[in-house]
Amino acid sequence: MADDTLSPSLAGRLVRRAAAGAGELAHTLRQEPIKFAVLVGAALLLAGLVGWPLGTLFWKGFQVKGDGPFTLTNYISVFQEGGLIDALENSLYISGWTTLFSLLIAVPMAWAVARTDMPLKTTITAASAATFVVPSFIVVISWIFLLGPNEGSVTLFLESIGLALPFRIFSREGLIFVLTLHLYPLIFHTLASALSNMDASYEEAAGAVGAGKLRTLWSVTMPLMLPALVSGVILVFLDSLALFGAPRAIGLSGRFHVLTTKIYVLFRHPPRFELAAAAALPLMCFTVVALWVQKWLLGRKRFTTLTGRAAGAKPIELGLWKWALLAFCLLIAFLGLLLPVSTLVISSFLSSWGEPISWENLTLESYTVIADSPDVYTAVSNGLRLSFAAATICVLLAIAIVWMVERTEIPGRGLLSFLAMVPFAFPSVALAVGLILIFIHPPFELYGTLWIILVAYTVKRIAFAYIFARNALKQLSPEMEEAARVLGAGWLRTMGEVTLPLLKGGLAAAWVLIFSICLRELTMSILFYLPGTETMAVIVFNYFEDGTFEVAAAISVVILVISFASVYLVKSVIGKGVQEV
Amino acid sequence: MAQVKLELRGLTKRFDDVVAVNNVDLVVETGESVVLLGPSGCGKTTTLRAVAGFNRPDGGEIHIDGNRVAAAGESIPPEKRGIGMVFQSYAVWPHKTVDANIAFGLRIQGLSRSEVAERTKKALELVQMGGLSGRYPAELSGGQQQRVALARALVVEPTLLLLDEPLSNLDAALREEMRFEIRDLQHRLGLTMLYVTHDQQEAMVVADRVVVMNLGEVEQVAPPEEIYRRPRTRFVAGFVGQANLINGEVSEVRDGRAWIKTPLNAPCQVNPPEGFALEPGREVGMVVRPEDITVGGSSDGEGVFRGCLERRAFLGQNYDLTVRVGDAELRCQAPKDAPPATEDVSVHIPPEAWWVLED
Amino acid sequence: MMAFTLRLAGVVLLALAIPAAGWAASMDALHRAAKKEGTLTWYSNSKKKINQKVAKEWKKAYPGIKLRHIRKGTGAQVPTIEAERMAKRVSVDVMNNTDPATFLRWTREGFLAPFKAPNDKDLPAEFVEKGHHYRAVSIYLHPGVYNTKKVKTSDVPKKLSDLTKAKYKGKTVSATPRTSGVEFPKYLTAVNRYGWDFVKGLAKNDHLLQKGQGAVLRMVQKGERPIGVGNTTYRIWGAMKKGRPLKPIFYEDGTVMITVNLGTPKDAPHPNAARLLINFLVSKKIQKLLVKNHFYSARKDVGNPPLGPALSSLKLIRADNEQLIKARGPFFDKFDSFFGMK
Repeated sequence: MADDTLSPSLAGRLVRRAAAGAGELAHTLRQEPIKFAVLVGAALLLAGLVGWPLGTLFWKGFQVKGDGPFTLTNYISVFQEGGLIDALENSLYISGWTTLFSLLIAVPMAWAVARTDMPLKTTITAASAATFVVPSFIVVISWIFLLGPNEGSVTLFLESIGLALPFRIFSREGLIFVLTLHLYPLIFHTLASALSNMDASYEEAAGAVGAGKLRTLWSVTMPLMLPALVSGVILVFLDSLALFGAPRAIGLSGRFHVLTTKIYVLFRHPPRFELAAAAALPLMCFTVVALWVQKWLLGRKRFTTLTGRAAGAKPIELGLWKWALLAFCLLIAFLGLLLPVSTLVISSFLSSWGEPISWENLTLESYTVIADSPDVYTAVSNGLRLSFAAATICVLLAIAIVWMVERTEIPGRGLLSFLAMVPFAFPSVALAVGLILIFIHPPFELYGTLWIILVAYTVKRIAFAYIFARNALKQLSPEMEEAARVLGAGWLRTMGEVTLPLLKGGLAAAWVLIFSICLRELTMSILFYLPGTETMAVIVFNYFEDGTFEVAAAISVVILVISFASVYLVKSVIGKGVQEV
Repeated sequence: MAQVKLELRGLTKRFDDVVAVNNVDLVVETGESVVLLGPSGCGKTTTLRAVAGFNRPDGGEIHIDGNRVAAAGESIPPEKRGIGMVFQSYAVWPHKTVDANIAFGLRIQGLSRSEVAERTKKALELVQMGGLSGRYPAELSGGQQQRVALARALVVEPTLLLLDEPLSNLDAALREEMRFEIRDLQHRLGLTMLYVTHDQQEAMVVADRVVVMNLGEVEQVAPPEEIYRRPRTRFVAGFVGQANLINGEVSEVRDGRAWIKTPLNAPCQVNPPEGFALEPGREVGMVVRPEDITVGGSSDGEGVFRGCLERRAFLGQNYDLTVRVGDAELRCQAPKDAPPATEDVSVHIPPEAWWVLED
Repeated sequence: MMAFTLRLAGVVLLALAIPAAGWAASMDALHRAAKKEGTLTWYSNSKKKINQKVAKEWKKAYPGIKLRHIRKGTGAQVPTIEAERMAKRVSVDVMNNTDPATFLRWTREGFLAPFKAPNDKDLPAEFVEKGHHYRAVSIYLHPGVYNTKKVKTSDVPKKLSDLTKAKYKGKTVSATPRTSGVEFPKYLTAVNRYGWDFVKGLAKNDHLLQKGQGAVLRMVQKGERPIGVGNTTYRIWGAMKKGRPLKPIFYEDGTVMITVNLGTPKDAPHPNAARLLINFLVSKKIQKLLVKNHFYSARKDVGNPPLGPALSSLKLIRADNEQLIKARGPFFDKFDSFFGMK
């Protein structure tokens, strides 16, 4: 009965919505062709870049073998696979705790950096961004050798002072530790960029009515930061679900599977990519759930904190507490960056890695090997160009998409959110296969060129830009843009002169994250690369696998320095703006 | 004959299933200041935004200077309407200096650098912000920021200026000052303004004519005094100023006078309204303003009622009194010497103090 | 990019122009046809350095035919090729990797082109697939390995089965057969000999699994796990030559031998150059070069690697390809289950 009355009205409403949306679309085309071209172009580009490869994979998923008939066999067989539930449980356990710990670390750090008078703020920010540059497999190896139960340097040091590690590196807890230090910057950067965009008058108002600092933080700042917080949490949660390298290195030794390692197992021997899409379904479900939770949590509430009633943000004075906070931030930066990186630096100067450090064992040989290898130059140049282009495309594309989602009634906006987010938690190997399937044929014969790598990076990381841009746009009052429109500026000019500059903080953070994370991308690059299209991580990996850890470490150090310098350069070029006002 | 600047014909706007603006007609003449007044959700801002071009009407038309800028489902973009707008949130751009904020519209018009500079300077002086051109908005107070927003809208010499609750974020004192300033500017520059507010006093100061809106519909369009003195509907009477609303039934009409039976303990004598006739038996609503009621004084005569003073509050300039008369409570104002509470008092309401509502 | 696309297009046209029989009959004709193709792509699991040395020789022998050599480990190589296959556009001309079962599967699926390379005749029959779809380009041995600083000579295990003894608890490491091509034959043959108790014993002995051979060697070298149950000889000797404190353990009960196979796809874009390279790779000259770089050769006439004993002096075990293909899935599942991974 209820259904009878409900469904027609629901259907009716949907039809009316769709009709209204289509009307708006047609209207935009008539009245604002440039806006139409940009928005629809961006939507089509996103649909093409994401929908095409993923769609192709899903299509293949219906075929048992190559050209076979269409069945659900693959999807069914994936879910009948033993141990999938265990893997799922482990994934949730690990991602859940990783997310929680990342929150505990990142929230105070972000607040301290964005809002207080704590010293060394730039250093802390740079360190947490740099955490992203070191290739993950190198970080994991470093941790394994630092925390290894028999010979780990940290383990031995702790033993010498009568202490023991509270967990085994080869365990789920060990993985949580590594992942937390690896991923907390995602929350840190989302939150910090949102915090520094926030109209300080909210906090000042709360301070004026006598709320203490902590109370203000809890009852005024945090609720306004909810969108940033939620998206940071989603990023960490999904990324920790989608990561493969670290869980593989640690999970195998710790004797447990997570979803991605389980999926990997399904692909192998013989590789059956038609299963890839099916196996990725659980991860895609999490993406959908995450988006849904976000929508539910944030709903139609307004989070506009940048309205054009500007107020200078005065850093909150912490007194002596700032030293405690600084110590905490430095500890995290040390654990997350310096400890693994110093292992790298030391290894890069050893002639024989694994041996004790002594004068005879120190050498510059690894660096001379680099100097003599033209492929290192190629890789560095490829890596920088690819990452620069991917970050830029991601950011520009994301702005258009986000603007459409947040500011228009155009139908299918929810689908765009989904398309932007879904590759994030999609296994990289599967994504790479999807891209090869498309780009090996004309008309877009990109396989074997740098272009396919660029597409892969863009597709995989657009979610970052999407999330950051969305948070930033949510904070930006539409009236800021409308003020420009009534003054005679067209849509494009308004975007260029008002929207983009005001979103700069969030966009710059997204850009830097994507740039850094692309520099270290390995999983897809290694499948795509041909002579001339090596990237830095590929070179490192190859040296590493050839048993020359010292050279791999030396290249990593070089990469680190270059990336650090580029990030710094970019920051100093685009980083001037609102905050300095 | 004044020229028509803006005309709304049957403007209708829906959001999903909710009708936000329903069949609104309005004409704004050149040089006129029209205020849209109403509680939040009454459709006044939606109307303004439709005029600006930020939403597309679902029905009706909008004409500016005789050009149709919007019709059902069609709407030319805001930048092609030649309007200026001041926003509730000011919307001054924090990444641009005061100068750059104001110069923006001129730059868009492609004016020469020197002309931009000159007109920007003039606009700044107009809003008395002369010395602050190089500042960033964050260094300004709220009032100063709103002046920047005003200058930014005025500098392009818009054919029509729209203001959306421009003063609601300011503190009370500043708000009062700015009302007069805006009104003054409007006169001096001969601006045509469409102004949205929920503050009736602001409306009174700024408007040549006030449009009272409720639930998406226009209740009354009239000059401020007429809105106050001669509200057309119960809603207008209640929304604009304090009013005692009394329902009654016409009992007698004679000699150009009417007597109405009400919950008050005696029939009320009223002057019949213009435009419609009263006949015995008709039910009517009547309004009397607190300040038109005299409490105390002679205990008999025309329009004198006996009542009991129930509550009494000192407001500084006068007393706010509540008097029970028959089955009705009347809010009254008394000057300095109000009788103490719980006392029987006489209440005088002259016939011309009553206003009979049309609906 | 543009240039590459154009070139690729040209090459495809050329390939189409060649009759379906593909490659020419005589070596001279093959050379001429290959010259016309002008280039070829080779996926090799060997180190880049070795590929470079081979490429240098190739350039001397066949100037004008550009050899694009790409180091792709078995783990990345097989998926890449499978993706190309699935897209029906193979871009690899010649490949070699450490997964013999995959070569057998490819042959059965009709993916590989048969080619009687003239030099195939110098390889013992057991190292050439009957239909000449693939042959061994080199041979890996898979002995144990230990850290000479952490393990006393007297404590070095003699037999593979020793490793389940209590004294090796927490000391051993190996790659997992599921992801390491060379590890699977070792464990399969071990289970053939000792039954599943061997795996169970290892698991109980806190044996550590790693994803690949490189990771295992690093663990041993660092001393975190001083004994590697198995590792490829070229890695061990390569590391020893660099002065690392490592030594292979040739178990008394046998050392596993793995062939690195070499073949060309039927749909290779440069079929003639591909065949030329295959013949070149199993030539005496190149085989000698490989032997010098710590690989064993299937050829009898090129000697042994610098640090390697003669194959005839060792008890060698070779896994059965049929069993490798058939046992695969269930074997991995069972193996994993002893390690608590369902």
